[in-house]
Amino acid sequence: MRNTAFAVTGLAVAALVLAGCSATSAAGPADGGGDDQLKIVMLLNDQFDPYYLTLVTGAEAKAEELGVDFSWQAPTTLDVASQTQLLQSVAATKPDGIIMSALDADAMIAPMKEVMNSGIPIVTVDADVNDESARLGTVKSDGKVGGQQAAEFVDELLGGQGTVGYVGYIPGIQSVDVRLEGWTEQLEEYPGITNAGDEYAGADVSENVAKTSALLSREPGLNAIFASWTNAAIGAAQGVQQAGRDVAVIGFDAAPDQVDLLERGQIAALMVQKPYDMGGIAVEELVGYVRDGKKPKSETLLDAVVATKENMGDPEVSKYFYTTPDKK
Amino acid sequence: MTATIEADRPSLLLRVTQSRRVQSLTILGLFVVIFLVFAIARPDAFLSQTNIEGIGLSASQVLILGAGVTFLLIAGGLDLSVGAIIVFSAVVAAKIMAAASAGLEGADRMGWPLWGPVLIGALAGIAAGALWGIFNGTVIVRTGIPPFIATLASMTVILGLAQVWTDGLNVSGAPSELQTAFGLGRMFGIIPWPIVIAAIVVAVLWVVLANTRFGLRLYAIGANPESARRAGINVGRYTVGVYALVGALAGLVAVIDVARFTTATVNGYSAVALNVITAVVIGGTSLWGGRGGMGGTVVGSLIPATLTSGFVILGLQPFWQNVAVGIVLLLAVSVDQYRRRKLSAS
Repeated sequence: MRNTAFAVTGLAVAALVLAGCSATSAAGPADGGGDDQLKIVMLLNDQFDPYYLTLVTGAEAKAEELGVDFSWQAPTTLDVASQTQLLQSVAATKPDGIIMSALDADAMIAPMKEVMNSGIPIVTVDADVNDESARLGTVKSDGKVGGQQAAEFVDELLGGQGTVGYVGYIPGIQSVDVRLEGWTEQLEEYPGITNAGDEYAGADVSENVAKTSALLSREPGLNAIFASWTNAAIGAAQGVQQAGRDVAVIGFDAAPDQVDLLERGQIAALMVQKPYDMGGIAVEELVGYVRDGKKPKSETLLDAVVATKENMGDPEVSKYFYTTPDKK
Repeated sequence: MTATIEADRPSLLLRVTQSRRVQSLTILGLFVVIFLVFAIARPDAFLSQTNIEGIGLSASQVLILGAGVTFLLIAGGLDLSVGAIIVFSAVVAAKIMAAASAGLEGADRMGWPLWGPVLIGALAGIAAGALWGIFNGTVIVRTGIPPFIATLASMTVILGLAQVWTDGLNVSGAPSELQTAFGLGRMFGIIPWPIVIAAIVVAVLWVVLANTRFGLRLYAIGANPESARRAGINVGRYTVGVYALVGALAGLVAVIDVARFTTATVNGYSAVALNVITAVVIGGTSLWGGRGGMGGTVVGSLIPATLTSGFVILGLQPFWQNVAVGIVLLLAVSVDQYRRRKLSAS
C-alpha cells in the first residue's frame, strides 16, 4: 500500500514538473498538429541559454511563415548518450526533419546516420559532425571568422601595438575551439601585437576571474583580453576591474548580462553571432528539401557582428542581441 | 580523538601518526613548499599584490563554504547540494535587488532607497540558503536516507527550481553601485571585502568549533551518533543545525558573487560542492566523521587556488593543475585511512 502511494505521488510530481517545463516555453513540445502538416523537431542542447533560445525563436518564426509544425526537445543531461537517446526517441515519432546541434563531432555520426538512413533528414546547427553524409546540411557561425574579427578589432583598438591574452572554455567544444584558432591565426598577421597565450576555465565565473587575475599578474603589460564565451567575458571583465587595470575585454556572444557590461564600458566589444538567422535558415533548408527535393548547401557559414558601446544603439546591430523569454 | 583512552600506552610512532596536528602540519608544509616554488620561480608576478589578492579572492569562496562543511563532515554529514543552493540563493538575491532598484534614477540611487533593497536582497539570499539547509537536514534526520543520496536528490530539485524560476537565464540587473562599493571595494581601501568576510566567517566558526560545547558535541556525534544520543545530545537538532549553517554560508557566497558580478549565473557552481569537500579533506578532516579541524581547512582551501594561479603564471599546461590537486587529495585521504587502520588495530 505504502509503496503504491509513493509511486502515485512520484508520478504526480513528475507530471507536475513536466507540465511546468512545457508551460515555461512558448515553443513547448508539439501538441499533435495535422497529419498532413510537415513536422520539424529540434533537439536543443540547452533549453535555457539565450543563444539557443534565439535560435529557437528564429526557427519558430520561419516555421510559422512556411506553415510547418515546429517543436523542440531537450535532453536532461548534456552528454552524448542522452543526446543519442533523445535523437532515437524523436526519430521514432517520424518527424519530417530534425534540427540538432551535435554534442560530439565524432560520436554523433553513427546515430545520426542511422536516422538519415531511415529517411528522416537532419540539418545541424551551431555544431556539426565530422562526416558530411551524416546530415543533409549544416548552418553554423563561422567561429573562426568570429575569432579573426576579434583580433582585427583588437589590432585597430591598440593601433597595431600591444600585448593580448585569451580566456576561454576548456578545449573540446568545437564551436569555441575554432574561435581561439581564428584569433590566434589572425594575430600572427600583426607583428606589433604580442600574443601572451591562452588560459582555460570551466563554466564558473569565479574560475574565469581567477584565471584572468593570474594572467594579469603574469603579464604586467597586457592591453586586451579576448574572452570567448559568456561566462568567460563576465569573469574577465570582473578580473580586470578587480585588478584596477586598463585592459580591454573583447567578448563573444550577446547574452543580456554581456550587453549590460558593454553598456557600462566594462566590455569593449562583443562578437555577436546570428542564431536567429541560423534557426530560420535551417528550417528553410529542411522544408525546401522535403517539399521540393532541393538539396541545401552542405555548409552555410554566418559571420559575426561587432558590437561596441558606440554602435549598440543601431537597430542593425541590436537586433542580433540574444532573446530572453520575456522579450519573446 | 578518543585514542588517548587506553589501557597500555600506545607507541610513540602510533601517537604521532594519529595526531591530527601532524597531518595539519604536513599539509601546511606542503602548502609552504608549493607557495615557495612559485614565489622563487616568478617572484615579480606571483608575489604581486594583484596575484595574492586573486588567490585570496578565489579561495574566499571555498573558505567560507569549507568552514561550514568542516562542521558538517565532523558531525558525520555530507552535502552535495551546496552549488545548487548557491544558484538558488543568488537568484533570490539578484531578483530582489534588481526589481527594487530598477526604477531608481539619479538622486534616488543612493542612501536608503538603494541600499535598503540591496540589504533585503542579501538577507533573503542568505535566508533562502539556510532554509534549504534546514530542508536537507530535516529530510536526512526524518527519513534516515544517507546524506549522499538525500543531498544528491535535493541538489537536482533545488537547481531545477532555480532554472524553472529563471528560465535558466542569468539574472542581471543588480545595482552596479553594489559592485563598486562591495564587489570591487576594499576594507579601509586595502583588503577586498570578500576576503574580509571569509576571514571573519572562518575566525568565528573556528572558535565555535574548538572552544564551545556545540563544537565538542559535533565531534561526539560524528564519532558515534548512538553514544552521543545516549549521552543525552539531541542529535537530530544538531544535524539540522549544521546543514542549516552550510546552507546559510552557501547563501552568503551567493550574495558575494552577485555583488562581484552584478548577475546571478545559473550555469556554473556544478563543481563547487566537490571542490569544497576536497579542500576540507585535504585539510585533514575525515570524511567518516568525528575528526578534523578548521586550521587544516584554511590550508586545504588555499592549496587549489594557489596551484591555479601558480600554474598560469609559470605558463604550464593548465590540466596539470587538476593532476596536482588530485594527488594532494589522494595523499591526504591515505594518511587519514592509515591512521584509522592503526587506530582500530590498537
